[in-house]
Amino acid sequence: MEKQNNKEVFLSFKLGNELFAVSVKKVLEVIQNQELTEVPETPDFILGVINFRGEIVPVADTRCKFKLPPLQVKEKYVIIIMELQFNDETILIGTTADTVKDVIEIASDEIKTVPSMGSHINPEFISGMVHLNDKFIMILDVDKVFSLHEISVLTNSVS
Amino acid sequence: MNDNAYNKHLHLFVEEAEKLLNNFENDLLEYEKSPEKELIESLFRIVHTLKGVSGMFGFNNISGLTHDFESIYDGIRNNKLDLSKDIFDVSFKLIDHTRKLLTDVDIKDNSNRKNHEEIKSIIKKIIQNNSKIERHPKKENNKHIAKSSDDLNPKTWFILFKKDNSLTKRAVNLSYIIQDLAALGSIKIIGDINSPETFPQSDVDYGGILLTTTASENDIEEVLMFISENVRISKLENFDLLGQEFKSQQSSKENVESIETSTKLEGIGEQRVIQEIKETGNKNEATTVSTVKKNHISHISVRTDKLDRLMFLVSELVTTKSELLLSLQNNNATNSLEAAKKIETLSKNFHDNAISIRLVPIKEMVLRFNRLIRDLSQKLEKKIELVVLGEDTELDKNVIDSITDPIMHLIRNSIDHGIELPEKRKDKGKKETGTIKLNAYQSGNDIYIEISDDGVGIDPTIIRNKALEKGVINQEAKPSTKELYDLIFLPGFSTAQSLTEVSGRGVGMDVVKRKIQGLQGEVEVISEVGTGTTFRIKLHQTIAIVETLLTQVDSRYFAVPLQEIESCTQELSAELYQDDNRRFSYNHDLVPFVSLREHFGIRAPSPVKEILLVINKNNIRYALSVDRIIGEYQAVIKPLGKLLKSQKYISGASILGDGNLAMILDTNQLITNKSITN
Repeated sequence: MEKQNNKEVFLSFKLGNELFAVSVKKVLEVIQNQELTEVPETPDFILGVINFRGEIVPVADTRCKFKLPPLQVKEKYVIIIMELQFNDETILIGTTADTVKDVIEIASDEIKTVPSMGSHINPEFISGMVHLNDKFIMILDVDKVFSLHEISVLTNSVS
Repeated sequence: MNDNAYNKHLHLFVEEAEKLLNNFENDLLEYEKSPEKELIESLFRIVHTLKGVSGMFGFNNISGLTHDFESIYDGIRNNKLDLSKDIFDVSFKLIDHTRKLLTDVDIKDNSNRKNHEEIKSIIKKIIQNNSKIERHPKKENNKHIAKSSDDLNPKTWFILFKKDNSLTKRAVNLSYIIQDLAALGSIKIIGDINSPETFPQSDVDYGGILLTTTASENDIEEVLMFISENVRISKLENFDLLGQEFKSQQSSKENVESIETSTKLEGIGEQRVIQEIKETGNKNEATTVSTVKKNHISHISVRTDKLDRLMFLVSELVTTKSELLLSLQNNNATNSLEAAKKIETLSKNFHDNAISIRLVPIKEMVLRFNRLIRDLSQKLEKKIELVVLGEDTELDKNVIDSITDPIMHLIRNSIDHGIELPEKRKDKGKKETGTIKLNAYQSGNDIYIEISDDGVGIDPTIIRNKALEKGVINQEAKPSTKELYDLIFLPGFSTAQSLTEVSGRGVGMDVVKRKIQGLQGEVEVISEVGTGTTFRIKLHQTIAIVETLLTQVDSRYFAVPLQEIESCTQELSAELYQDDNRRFSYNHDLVPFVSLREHFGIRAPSPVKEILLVINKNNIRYALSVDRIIGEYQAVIKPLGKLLKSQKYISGASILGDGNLAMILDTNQLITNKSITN
């Protein structure tokens, strides 16, 4: 059993021209057309909060996080609700994507390490890369992308 | 058993164990004060139960530790050993350590491992030094012999097991119990009861065990105490029925076999549990929540009358619903309206009921204080007694959870800086034993908790000098005593002569105040030099629901706690904003105001008139300007979450009836806003 290749399921989504993937274990739901409520005095990349199953969940702008230009048509994004782990706590966060592509199965040996090239995306955020149908998909380490430390540092600098 | 089911059992165990540990700690503290024999019995029972439960759930580290510990208390119970200071100390150590083990079952943490070994060796030493204690025999049955001559003859008992799902639900591992029974004497298993998996599902409704033993009925009951509702014990014969049976049938082989199976099963069961714990452990690390913690927090014990009330409401609701449906079918508008109104009343009652269910007595919290005072006063060589009044006063579970630490801090302060050393107290003509009083009471919708000590008190002149030195006030200022006392809540403002290990480091009074304010509460100091200090904390009974005034700026909703609002007036925007002063005349006074539009950077232009909500905070007035008032609104507060916690002016959000979100303003924070204080 263990000799076999462990396959993991990922959700792929598009941001600009690039494809990303996150483990479906982290994803709770993908929502479209949900109205955001802005919260005053929050860091730039927090777009606002939404009511997700009766809980208040902040929504982060992934484009802003990856230093991509904002979408031309605002509010045309989808929100991926993810469950992140910080120490002992689980935190829900919504992250934006241009479109959600596919649910894909990737074997662990297909995942290559990321060359530390001059990407605009912090290589720490990427846990690996997959070559699929002539396209490269970057696998995000979401716990790192939205690490609480980074967020609280940012929030503090705002206030 | 899948993971979920397993976790359910895990938290059941954790809950049970924590309850036991709390009781143990409490009894121990009680015994230290007044050593009564009954308490020893109770202590022994608790240790015994703890050993049993942890073994049953496969927490071998805890059961292993408590096994020898039980022998000590057995020795004390039988007057073979005194409850010495050593035993006291190791008992408290064991309590603390076991609490830690509940979240670290495999002892992965290094310091836990060290403690584990240390406590084990202390217990071993105590047992070795007291040769009189027999180590609690697990597999021998000679312990119970010689109680009285009547008990010497083996008797045969029949233990009937009832088929019941609750056994698997509670993850009762029958093989442990069977093993314990086998230790009492010889057993014969009838029916398929030794496998927890197949037993409840099997077609046999009952299974049973024949037991021949010299032990008394009490001993048997003790073994079966965790499954007492599933078994019935009856005495069959006053002689060894099994032995006779075996002799006549020459088939003791069967007996041996069944015991073998049970032992084998035990092995398998143990492995499985260990495996499961490991799996859950790994899983916890990888993705999911630490279930133990989360599940535990989400459980409270509820008084049954509250649940009865809930049941009553539910039945009322069902009746009214049918009433409504019927009148709607008949197009009877009057009746429909009446039913709808009834439902409205009911929903209000439901709300009150739901809140009352969340309320728990503060007793729980007090247990921890007892321990704190014992440990600290010993360390500081002070004599201190805790007096608790109103421990049945009820508070929201969440409030209790967040208020415990601040109160601990206040008590720590009282012990360290308030209460004097015994000799000093004697010199002053006070009782040698100082008193810390915790008084909780309800007044209206508010709960007051007072922590008083009869110690040195706080000298306002010392605070004044300190404040001058720090530049907090200037020479001419003549602050009132109350204002001076409030200064001790400033960050970095400590009047203690020296920093001690106990207090004066880590969280300070400013954190205490901030935490209490975070609960929409207030704290004040009353003190008299020489006679003592009282901290009075005022809290809302529940923080989950707040009466607010719902307002709107542009399309955004803001809710302001109703009790903060003194009045509302309307002003022309052109006049309000004609200069940059941001003040308006109110009751012949110029009152500063915060424009929520400006403050939160809402770009939409102002309407012709804006509404000003005048807030009164301890006679300091300021106002908030909004576009319009929607109306009174009972806001169910939802936290904004960790990610937005440094968000200062908003204490939470509430989901409105139409799904929109309203931000709940924190009027305490807005007042510190520059535009007002300037």
